[in-house]
Amino acid sequence: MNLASVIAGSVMTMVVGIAYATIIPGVERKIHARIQRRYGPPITTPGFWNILKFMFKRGVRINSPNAVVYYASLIVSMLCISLVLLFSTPYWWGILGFSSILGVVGLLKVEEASYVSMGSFSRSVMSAGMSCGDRAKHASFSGVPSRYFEEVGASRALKMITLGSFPFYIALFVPFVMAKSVSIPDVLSLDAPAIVSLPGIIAAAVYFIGFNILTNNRPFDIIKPKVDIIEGPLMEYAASWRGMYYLFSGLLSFTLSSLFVTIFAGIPLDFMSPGLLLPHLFLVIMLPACSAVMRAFSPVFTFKQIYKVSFASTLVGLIALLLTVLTGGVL
Amino acid sequence: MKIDVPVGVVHPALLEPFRIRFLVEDEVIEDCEITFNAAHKGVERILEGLPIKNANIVTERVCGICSHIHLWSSCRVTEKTCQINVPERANYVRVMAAELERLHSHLLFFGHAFEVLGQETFSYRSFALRESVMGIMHEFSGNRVHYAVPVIGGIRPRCDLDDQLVKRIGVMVDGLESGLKSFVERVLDDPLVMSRVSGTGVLSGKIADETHAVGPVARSSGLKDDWRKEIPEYEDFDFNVVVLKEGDNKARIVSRGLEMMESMKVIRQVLEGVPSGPIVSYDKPELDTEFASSYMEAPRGELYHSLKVDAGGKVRNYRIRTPTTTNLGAVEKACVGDHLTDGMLTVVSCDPCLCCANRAIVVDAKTGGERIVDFNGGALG
Repeated sequence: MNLASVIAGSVMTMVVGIAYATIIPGVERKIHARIQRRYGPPITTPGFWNILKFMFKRGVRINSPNAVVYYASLIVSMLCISLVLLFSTPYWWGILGFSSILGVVGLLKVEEASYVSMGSFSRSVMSAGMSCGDRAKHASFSGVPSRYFEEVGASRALKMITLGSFPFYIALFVPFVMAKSVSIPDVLSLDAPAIVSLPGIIAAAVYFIGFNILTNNRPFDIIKPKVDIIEGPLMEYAASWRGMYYLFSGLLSFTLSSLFVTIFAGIPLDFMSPGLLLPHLFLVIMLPACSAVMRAFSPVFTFKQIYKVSFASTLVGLIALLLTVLTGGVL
Repeated sequence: MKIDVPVGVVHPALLEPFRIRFLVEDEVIEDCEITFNAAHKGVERILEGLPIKNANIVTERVCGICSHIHLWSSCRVTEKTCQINVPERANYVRVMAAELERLHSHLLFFGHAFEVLGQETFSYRSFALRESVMGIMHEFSGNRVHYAVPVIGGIRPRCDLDDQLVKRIGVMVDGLESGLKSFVERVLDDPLVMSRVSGTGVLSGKIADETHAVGPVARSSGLKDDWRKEIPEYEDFDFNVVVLKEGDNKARIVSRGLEMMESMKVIRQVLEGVPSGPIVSYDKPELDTEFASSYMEAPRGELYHSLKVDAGGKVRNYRIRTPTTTNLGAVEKACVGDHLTDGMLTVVSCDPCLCCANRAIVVDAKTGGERIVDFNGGALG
């Protein structure tokens, strides 16, 4: 594939990705609303007009020991997700080793770690200590270091990196074990898509749980539950940065969903093949839609529940992996 | 490492301004401190010097959720101190309004609790159920928030029950009962919700007793504490006091669900047995009387009003103690051992109503004198 095709394909991929990123929040909100017997907002409002609104709002000066790192974390996350999306398209498969699952996993890990740096470099007024009241003699505890919500969110993000995202990666590996390769093109050259085999179905279910964990969707939104730490590490992204975060959030959903369709259904995002492109664009909305349904019926999980779900999902994922190894994925 | 996580005064999970400090270690709460009085209305100070009828109207403004019970308590304490009799029919209507208020208050609690739980669908459904009660309150009294049903010596004539209204309230109660039953069953059958509320925020009966917990918070911890069984206004009605022993967040949610069933039972008895007769008495009030107090069962628990009327028929002194004041003390203990996210649910499960509780009396520790401060910290009196 020549350089012009790579550039054209990449640009089109990003355009489609961003377009979907503006639509996905609206679709999710509409599904929510219908379940809750409401009309809900127009589909373009939460993802498109909302972002546009934020882009034209006046910015705020954040309270941070290093604001550059705080803002850079979002840019790095966005860059990682964009690269994951591009690596899953055929245009990049011929360049170096970009089609490797290892690159995808590495980039996603960087994205996960960015929440830790976001949380560590933000100190919003929402959880600032009151210098008088908190030091009052009658206070039931005094002299204890105070923590900002963002810092609590950062420590939660760290826990989610170490444990929460296990199911996602184990499920992601199953099609690659079937193909006995780390390369995405090899997965696509399997006789039948991974999802039509038993281990593939199990892995797809586990992937769905992992998808919700990685996208911080309820019930796995412990990094930023409104009930206690509000927006957690993301609290201080305001105005255009808030808009960018919403765009990033939609792009993350699209990317992980697109990765699922490519790897599990064997349908890549290829603009040169309309026969593959249209099914891909249709199927890519299914995962966020199912996630929205689950979210409408779920409370926020604390770590007490997340540990159990993560452990059980990891176990199921391991069973899928084991079945794949034992049967070669032909079951 | 132990850390302090301050929540509020402004926070999306707190409907009103109050401040919570959690002492946590690895997100497990080891201690909790709740401070309120961040917003001040100075109701008690405003009441002093007002003619009793005017003061009566102001007490309804203490709260926008349980406005009726405040007004009823105010009327009750005035009637008690001024020796005014209340016709039986008026008493029935007052009881019905109080139980309707309990229904909407508990449904509001459901909406808030499920929102804090993160279960938005249940929250919306609670508000949808509540709407039928609000609608009938509007029809019955002419207002959705401040119903102004009682007046000193009876009820307002526009709030009297006629045959059509009795029928419509009956239909509403029937519809609400079936909707509520299926809703509560749906909640109890939901394993995800139950995993969050079962075994969290446990308040033992002993601690509830020690901290003087009242209302559904106390009753969910095994204390049989309901002023409706003590006061003569409820003598004609047959209902059960819902007492659960678990003392956790689930018990506090379930007990309110069961209490709503009992409230509907009382409302049906009012509709079936409301006596005919006058709705207000015109007894001449006794003035310059002794200090009087009244205890009633508000939706959140024990409500205390006390009053002294001077010779000119004006309020000399007025004191109000709302259930939130004592319940927050109990909740500080109930949070201990919870995850931080569960701790917030535990605070909400006591259904704090700060607009009732905030009256900001500052006591000087040296002189023992009291003064009222306004929102900006300036002294009012």
